[in-house]
Amino acid sequence: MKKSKIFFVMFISVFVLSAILLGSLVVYVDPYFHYHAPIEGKNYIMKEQRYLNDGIVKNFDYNAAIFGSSMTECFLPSVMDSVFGTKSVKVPFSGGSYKEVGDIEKVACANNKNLKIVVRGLDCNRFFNDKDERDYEEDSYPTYLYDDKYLNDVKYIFSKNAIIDSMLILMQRGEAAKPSSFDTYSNWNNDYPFGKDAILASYNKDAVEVSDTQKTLSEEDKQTINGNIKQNVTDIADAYPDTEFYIYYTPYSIYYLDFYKRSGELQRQIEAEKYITGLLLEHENIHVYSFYLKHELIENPDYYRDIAHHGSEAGNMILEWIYNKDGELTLENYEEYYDELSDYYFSFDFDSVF
Amino acid sequence: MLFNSYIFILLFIPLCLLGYFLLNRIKLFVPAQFFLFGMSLWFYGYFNYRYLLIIIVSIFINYGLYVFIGKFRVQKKALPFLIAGIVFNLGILGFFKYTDFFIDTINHVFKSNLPLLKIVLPLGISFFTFQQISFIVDTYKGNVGKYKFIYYASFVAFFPQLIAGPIVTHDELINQFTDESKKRLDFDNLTKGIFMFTIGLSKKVLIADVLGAIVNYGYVASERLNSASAWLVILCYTLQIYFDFSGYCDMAVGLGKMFNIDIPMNFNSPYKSKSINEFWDRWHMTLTRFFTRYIYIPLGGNRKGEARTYLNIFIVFFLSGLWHGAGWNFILWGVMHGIFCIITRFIEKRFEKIPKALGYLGWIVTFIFVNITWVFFRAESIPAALDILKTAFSFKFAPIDPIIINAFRTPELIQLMAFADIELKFPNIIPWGFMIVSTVIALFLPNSKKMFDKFKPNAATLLFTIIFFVWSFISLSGVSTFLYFNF
Repeated sequence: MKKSKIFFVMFISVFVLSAILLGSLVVYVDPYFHYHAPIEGKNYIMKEQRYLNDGIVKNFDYNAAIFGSSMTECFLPSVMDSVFGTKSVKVPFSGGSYKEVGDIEKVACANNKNLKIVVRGLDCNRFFNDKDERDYEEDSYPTYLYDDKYLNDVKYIFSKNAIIDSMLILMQRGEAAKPSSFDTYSNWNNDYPFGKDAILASYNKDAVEVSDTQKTLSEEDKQTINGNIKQNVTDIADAYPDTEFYIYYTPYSIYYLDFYKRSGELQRQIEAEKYITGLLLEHENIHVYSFYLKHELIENPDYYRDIAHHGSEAGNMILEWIYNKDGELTLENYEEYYDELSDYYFSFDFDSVF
Repeated sequence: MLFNSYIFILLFIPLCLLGYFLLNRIKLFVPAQFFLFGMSLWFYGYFNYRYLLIIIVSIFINYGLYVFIGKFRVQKKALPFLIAGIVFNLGILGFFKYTDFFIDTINHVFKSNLPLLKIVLPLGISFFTFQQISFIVDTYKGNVGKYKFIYYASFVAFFPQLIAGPIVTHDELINQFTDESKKRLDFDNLTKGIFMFTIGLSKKVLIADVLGAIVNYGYVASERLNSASAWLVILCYTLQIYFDFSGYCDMAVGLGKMFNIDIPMNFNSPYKSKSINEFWDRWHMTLTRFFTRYIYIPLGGNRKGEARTYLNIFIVFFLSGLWHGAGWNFILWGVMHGIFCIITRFIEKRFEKIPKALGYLGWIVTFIFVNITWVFFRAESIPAALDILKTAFSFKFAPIDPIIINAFRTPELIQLMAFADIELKFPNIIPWGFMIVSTVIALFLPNSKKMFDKFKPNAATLLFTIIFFVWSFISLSGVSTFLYFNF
């Protein structure tokens, strides 16, 4: 046989063989849970949220879930389970918009009839987002993991990330040598310093453009909010009336409120939150919580790593409060709550926290 | 469709080769050519099926002009049709590529507020319009033989060179299409093609794409760079654009070879150049050839005195800048290259023989110049480019941004280093290693053309091809680190 023919035959054979081997390995181990739940007894590498979350909500066995942005990353589902008596998963999207979080919530509800309790953090800095806002480059998003088409799975089963992860998981080496759990999934609680110094390292109040007047909620804002909340929050609750949705406003630190106050946004923020609460409370299976009058949290910098993000301890407190209906807003109390909130922060001495 | 995609490698190319050679085997030469044309249209329409209309209309009209111009016995009488052809092709290019640029410029100058049309640029339009202009001009000059429509159509649409060149001329390709000896599957060519495709794919996927992530980050988050990071980002782009573009052209050459078609090389180790003129003889060679043949020489080239030569060079580079992109940053990039070419030529003319030491100096100056001008090419705008350069030249060095360091750390490199805890001992070995290896490949190793010419199917080349092909194949997709996410 001609040398080039041997070359060609060898090349094709080895290539096809490697593709079959590597592809089968990924399907068998399934590091992103696209086809099945993790293999019993193996530690998985739980790291890349946007690659894992769809598989988690579709293929895991759970009856409760925590959804949200990076503000929910440090929650401990084990604590949730002991408080609520559930079997829960955590599904955070770092930098996730209402749309992105809402979409995964929909997938979870549609695929898991046992899902009875949803805890969701609503990011206060995204009140005025468009309903379809998704903050990432569209073409780098792994959409092939979010659909049921088999053909585009080539991007998954032949990707070196998935192949290497599969090998490590199979051998339980490298990052797969450590046990994985939803408590540690995306949890950065032990990776950063907390406290006033840490917060002030990334927040310079003097760099904020100061506004002497406070903006208020406009009709246009309300329209935006209506769209955002309806599509990404309340429509989902309406579609799944047997599931209880515990929705809380992500509690930022006092320094974030300082920023809002300085930049003239505080009034508008409070009005927006109040307006959204009104919208949410129209739905029977939605329970709304706001913790901005929990001074032991908001005004204690030791719970925070920057002006916004709190760690696991605060997460535990939030779960307890939700379970005990502490901080819950109802049609009867919410207007009064926001009056109180407004009075408190507009008379607060922000200089005292620096 | 992209060469570096699963659908292209797993479906398109096997199907295309099989269909083409099967039809040719049963002597259905013309249907085979139609098949190739059809496949090329699928390849093109896969991006956006609406583009198909543009390319099909463009092919028909140019072929019509060719037939028409060919009927004139007296060349002069055909002139209006030549002009019509050029106007038509430039018109398409102008409309799709430059309308918004034009409107934007008017808005700036007259402080007006005309709305932009937001036209989506059809891929490869800059390439296939130039190709067809050269065809019409050659037709007018009487340098074109008798071509059947299908051969012309499959020349313009031939998928290996359709999207990003090389800018192949009609005589290079059509005569090969009609050559019956090239219509049989030839394993020598097939393996050579696979080898070359693998080289190109590896350059694109294993090197350029990694650098690309860093470059994207650097140009978006330019305010976070320090001088060290800025220089690194600048160098990364210099390497990225070379590995990306030349890798793409290598793949084109390889694909052509699989069909027994020779496609001209487009790059010849450009960063080894010791002067800017040499650089342009080695960088995007088919474009330089086009500009020389159809602009520089018709303008008089170097035959009308020194001053006129410089003016002609300037015009060519101005147009080249404009061709590369509809933006003032591209024009500035072209103009800078033009001026530097003129200066170099001016100096070179005054030396009998360039001393050797000056050669090395020439390399340094050329390489730095090319690096800096790429900043204007890559940045969104001239002010954005100046921002990066200001940071680079402020010489405020600080450790490289960890996000950049991490982008070099591809999963296989991390695992490779983890074997002996090498990264623990030498923390920055991956970024350093990556930059050194890719720079050495670009500056010192034999380029893909030399490897291609020397290729023999044997155990060593087989092993090389398999390793790099499989490695690139599993690198086509993967976790794209959401670089811009910072909570």
